[in-house]
Amino acid sequence: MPRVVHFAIPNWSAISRGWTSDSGLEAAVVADRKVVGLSRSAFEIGIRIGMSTRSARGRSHAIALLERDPIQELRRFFPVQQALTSVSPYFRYVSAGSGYLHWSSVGRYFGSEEKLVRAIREAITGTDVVDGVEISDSDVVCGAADGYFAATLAAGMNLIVPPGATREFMDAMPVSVLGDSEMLSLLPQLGIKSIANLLSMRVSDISTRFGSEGIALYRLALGEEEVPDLLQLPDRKVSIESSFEQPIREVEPVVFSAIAEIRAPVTELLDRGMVVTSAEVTTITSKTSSSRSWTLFSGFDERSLAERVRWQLEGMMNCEVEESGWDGVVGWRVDLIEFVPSHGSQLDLLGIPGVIPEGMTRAMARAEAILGPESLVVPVAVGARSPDQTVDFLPWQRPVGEVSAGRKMPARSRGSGRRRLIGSRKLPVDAQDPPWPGGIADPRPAAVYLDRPAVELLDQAGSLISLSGRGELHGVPFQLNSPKGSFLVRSHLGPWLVEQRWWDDERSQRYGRLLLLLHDGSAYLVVVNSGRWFLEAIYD
Amino acid sequence: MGESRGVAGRVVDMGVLSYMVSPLTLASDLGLPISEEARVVLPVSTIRRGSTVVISGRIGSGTYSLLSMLLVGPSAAGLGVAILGIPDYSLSAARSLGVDLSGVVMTDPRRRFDRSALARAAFALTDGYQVVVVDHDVASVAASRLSSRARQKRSTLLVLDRLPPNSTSLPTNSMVKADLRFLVEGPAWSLGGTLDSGIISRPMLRVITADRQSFPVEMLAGYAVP
Repeated sequence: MPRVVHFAIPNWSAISRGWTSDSGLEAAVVADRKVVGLSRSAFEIGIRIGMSTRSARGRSHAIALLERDPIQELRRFFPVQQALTSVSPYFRYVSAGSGYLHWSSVGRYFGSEEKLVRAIREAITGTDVVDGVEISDSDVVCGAADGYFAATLAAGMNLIVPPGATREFMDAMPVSVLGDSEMLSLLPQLGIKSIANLLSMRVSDISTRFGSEGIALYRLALGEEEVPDLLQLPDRKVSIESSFEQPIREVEPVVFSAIAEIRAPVTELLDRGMVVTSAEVTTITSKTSSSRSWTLFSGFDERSLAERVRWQLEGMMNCEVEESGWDGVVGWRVDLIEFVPSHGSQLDLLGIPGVIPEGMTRAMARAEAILGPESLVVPVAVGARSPDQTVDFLPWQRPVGEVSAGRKMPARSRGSGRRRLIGSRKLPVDAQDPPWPGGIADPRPAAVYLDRPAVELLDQAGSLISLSGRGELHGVPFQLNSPKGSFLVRSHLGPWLVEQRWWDDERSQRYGRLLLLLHDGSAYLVVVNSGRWFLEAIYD
Repeated sequence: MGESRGVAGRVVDMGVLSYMVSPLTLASDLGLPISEEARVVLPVSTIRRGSTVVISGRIGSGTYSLLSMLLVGPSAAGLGVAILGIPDYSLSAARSLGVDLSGVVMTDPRRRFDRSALARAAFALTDGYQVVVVDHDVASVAASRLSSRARQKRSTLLVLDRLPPNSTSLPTNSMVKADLRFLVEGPAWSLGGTLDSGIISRPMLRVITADRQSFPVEMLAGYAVP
């Protein structure tokens, strides 16, 4: 297994916004209902990366939760990439805020991994992100191990695992490092707490109990399903390039034309049974040029490659605007450098249904160019108690298996997504709809508020109604004050107590739900959590 | 002579052939598929593809339920449905009313978008999607252009015009020129039953329908929700 040195800036979402440690700002950046970045003040009140937004609100009612801005994060990552070129030109970037390097590519120059790690930290530390905000040494984590996945874990602990000791290092890890799926939250209750416990099980038992998801996690724990293992180079170098007579100031048209130009070679490779996992993107502006290598373990298609062109151009544009003004793009080149065999895609029984027709794909690409990356989603029904969690939203061009892609696990390892999708984006197939104990029965509320605006539920005397720990309502609901107005309550049903994941301190939730019938005939679902009332849904 | 008749004959054959292979539009292709439940609400038997339909009503009156009823037919027929800028529309409820989610795409409800960007995105999506659903605020940014684009691409534009819950006035001077307009006035919900069998019910929706030619027609949708 190759030696890999991995670095990450875990709190990059917050750092790229220029949040400094002494600003006193109590705020967190969220994506997919999870905290992905936080300020120093938020950290001090117990909020952590990976925590659900609901748990974060539970820690502080006053916390500002801001939506992630992936484009801005990528733009501001550009200076970090520039700084790292002084260490090595062979860095591979998986996303904004993290990257890795094969030790073999620089081993002879640096001599020891400690020296390389030190050089990486020194290069990143002090980089000016925005308005004088610099990255400090404590913001960076860096580590080395055998294999990509183990290296990401070692980096999280700032550890260099000696060659050959990676198996023991991995064995001691809890199973939660493998991702954040439901199956992984179930394993500790079954006594399977560490990776060693998981690997001591028979594969047939895992397959019988957990199916393909279990097998994928077992292989990840073994370190098998990580960096593409079989590199298969085509008989000639595949490069796609484009240059413009006049500099183009807007990035969108360049990206849009790149999609069309990259499509043919990528499709040709797919026809030959190969998929691209690494590509070097060179972008040329009227003043300078920049080359970076990008990796996507689940395999690139024309859209994801063009997206890398965009990321790079956005970064350059940001730098040039600040330094000497932006004149525009004069060209780009994409060199496809690593390939793995494509596992193809499984069509439905009759072939066509389930695959997005080309016309729709084009329309969505255009709409997404207007609204921004990952702005269009496809809904997938999932089971849940809360009405705001009964549908999961996937970016329309992401593989089906990546329902909740986490930082800890390469997308390729998640379920069978890659096998089902590459080459023909396939719409998710809704799961069967089994009964969900404690869920909302039909009819379901037709308007559900994901942001849950705060409301007040008062009794006739104007006092706030509260709910006891045993689920008893103190007071009779008389008036509801909401952002949409004040309404008199005609009758109510409930409350029902909802208690979820009581065994997990981080993700446990306990709240009460009440159904209100108002005097105008409409029906509202409200929830009470820590003495505060929120509007959850309206029957419409 | 015989040869010239042969040529003439071939010309005739080609004429017959071109007639036989000329594009044929079935009546069903002109209209949007409508489910049996939604058909009860409509005074006309179909909604013409490419038309602009406005659904108005107060929040909580049943506008979303009517929208779901209208989406059941197109989604079951495999048509593409794009929903833009309506983050609180519950697809879980839509699915329970029969909407097939496999052909639905929507803007990420966890993010907020600029109205004019949403209008431009709706403009782009009419190219590939047969049904595009937008909020009235979005549609009014470029109402006439969006409607004419939808008509040209034969994509049906569904516009939601939701009023505040305690609003007493009805929408009158809408920027959007609708081919068909529904005004929903849902009767009161009632509470009762058990947790398992359903604790809330509403007998039926009351929908007033008007198109450009006809006077408003009031229909009671014989459709318990559900």
